[in-house]
Amino acid sequence: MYGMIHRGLRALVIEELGEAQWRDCEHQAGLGAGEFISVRVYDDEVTFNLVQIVAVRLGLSIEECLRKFGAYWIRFTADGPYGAMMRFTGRDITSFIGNLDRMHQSVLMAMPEARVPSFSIVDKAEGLVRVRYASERDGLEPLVAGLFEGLLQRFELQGSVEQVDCQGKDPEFLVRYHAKDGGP
Amino acid sequence: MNIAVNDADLALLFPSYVRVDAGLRVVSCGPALSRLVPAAVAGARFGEVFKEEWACDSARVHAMAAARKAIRLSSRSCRRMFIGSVIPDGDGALFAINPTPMSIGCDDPVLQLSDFEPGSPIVPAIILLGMQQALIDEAAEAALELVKERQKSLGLLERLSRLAGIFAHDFNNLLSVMALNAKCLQRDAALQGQSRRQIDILGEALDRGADLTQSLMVIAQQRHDSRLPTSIDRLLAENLDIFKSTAGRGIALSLDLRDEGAVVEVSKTGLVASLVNLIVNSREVTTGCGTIRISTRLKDAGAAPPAPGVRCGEGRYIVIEVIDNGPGISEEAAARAVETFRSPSRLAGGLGLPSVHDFALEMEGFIAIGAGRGGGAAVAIWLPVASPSPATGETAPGDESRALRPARARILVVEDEPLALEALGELLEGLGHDVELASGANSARAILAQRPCDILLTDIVMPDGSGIDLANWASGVRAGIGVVLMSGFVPDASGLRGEWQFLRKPFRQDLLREMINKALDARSGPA
Repeated sequence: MYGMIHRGLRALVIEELGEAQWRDCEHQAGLGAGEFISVRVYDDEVTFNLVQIVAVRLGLSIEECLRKFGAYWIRFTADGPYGAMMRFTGRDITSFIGNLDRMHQSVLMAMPEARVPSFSIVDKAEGLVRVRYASERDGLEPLVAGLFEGLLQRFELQGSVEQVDCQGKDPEFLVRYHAKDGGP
Repeated sequence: MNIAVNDADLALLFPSYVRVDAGLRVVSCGPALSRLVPAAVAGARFGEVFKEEWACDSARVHAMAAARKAIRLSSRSCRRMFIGSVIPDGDGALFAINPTPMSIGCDDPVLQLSDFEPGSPIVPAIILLGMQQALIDEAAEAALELVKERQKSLGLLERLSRLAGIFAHDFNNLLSVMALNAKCLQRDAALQGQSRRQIDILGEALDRGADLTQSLMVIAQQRHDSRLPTSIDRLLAENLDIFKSTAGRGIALSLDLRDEGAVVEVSKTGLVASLVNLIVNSREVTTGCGTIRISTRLKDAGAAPPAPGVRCGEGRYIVIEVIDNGPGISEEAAARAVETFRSPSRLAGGLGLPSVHDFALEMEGFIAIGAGRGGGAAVAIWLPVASPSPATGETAPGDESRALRPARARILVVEDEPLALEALGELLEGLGHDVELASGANSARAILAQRPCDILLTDIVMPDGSGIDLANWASGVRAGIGVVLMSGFVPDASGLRGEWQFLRKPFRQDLLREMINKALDARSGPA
């Protein structure tokens, strides 16, 4: 996965547990400054190993950690140097999700070795969007659920994210939302 | 050929499209245009939505459509421009247009990706520019973090150095007292048998302790002292105990010294500190057990291995090599080892190879990294030879005395540590000199104002003034006075006069006698 994920994990641990705990994680994972270059792609094993270590530190299961990180990732990206790119990707939750694939295609021009997921809106209505998620990687559905939860927060919405059973096909998520003041 | 498309298809192909009728009223527009230009609603006059003169002229619009002209449109209600082309659409016209970003990169406050048609090259251009800017910001942030980390490390190192220096200096003073008194006891012929052996053991232990504190003070200074002509073999031998302490119990550290008497002009502090760094690195990669060998050899410039970014000058070099029996280092790692953000040993407690590299360059040499002969890693510091003549500085004992030197000198001893002052006084009296004692610079000045002395033997660092300042003052009021400075620290040579002598604490009695004689020889007459 690309180094930006590592940077996000680092920021999460520092925010939740402090710099000293992060240093321990870094040491335990055998990482150095070279593993935190945003646009460089690293072996998935490096990333998953780090996620496992962080999960233990946070006292969470791997799935809980991925979901928490997914939500945090949205905030981390929006507040950091890639915030402008996020804003350009979409100004509301449906536009953002609908434009993700196109954004990823542009990113691939700079990072051709990256393996990016795909998000397709299969249905939408007022306060609801159903998204199909496709990826070469397995086991990241909790992360995706967290991402959608992060998007709800980003666009100042309240709602829920539910993974829908699709009987062996690509997983789908149902994102229900409404404005925080109770409006549509 | 006609293709039937509806408004939904148009919205997909051209998110910012506008259809107008024959009277130039808006029929429909794409979702992006509706969002960016809220005034563009069905029924609105085209000329009231966009500023261009021709937007109100139906004949011109139809002519442009027939010619499939490229056009530019500027919104009246907001600062937004669109570019594209216009084609006939029945009696009206279809404008297939794209918004233009208001700024380079992703910083446009309103635009989003889906405002552009699917194949628009503007989108990847904007994304890539945004990534570029983000990477620049990230690099700046990383550089700042690196600077802060280095400052923290340097700050900590400085505090530790100061603490170590203060400790070493004070302990050094006490060690001087013990050493001088031990020497006095050793001169007592009445001591025999067991007592003689005990006193000899005490003397030897004090000598070794003196070597350790001197090395500690060298490292504690952590700055490059003056570049002095130095015998590398002698320097390494003198600091063997500190090297062994650094390596630790599990490591067998040995010296293989063959500099053939050559001399280099080098900062002793810097060289010892660099070797300590290399030993720390070797200790870490050998995981605390193994061997480290430090060797010196004299080599020609032609034998030098290629060192990236370094021009090896002509002449001869002393090569100081630290070789361990650890896992070794790959060629790639060796080539990148001196990068400032990376060290082969992440766990190293020292500053790493970059500081050793910088030191070597400062001394007009360089470092070479490679594989040791028996596996392991070998780091070599190449330093240019200064001259074949023997090192000057601290004189070897047993120097010849001159016939004109008075047998009995008047020596003013200035030392703020009372026990050391007393011990020095007794020692010098034991050597047959007349001694006056002063506990600081002020009392020394009072004594010299009243009566002359042959020699001023003074500590440098004292609470009421510097010994160097005192010596300069004394040389003014008592012309020809011989000066011997003493300290645990090596002073900056630029503040010293050529005829002065310097004794490094703790010193041996024979060296003290020698310095006194040299100071007497250097005087130009009675003070």
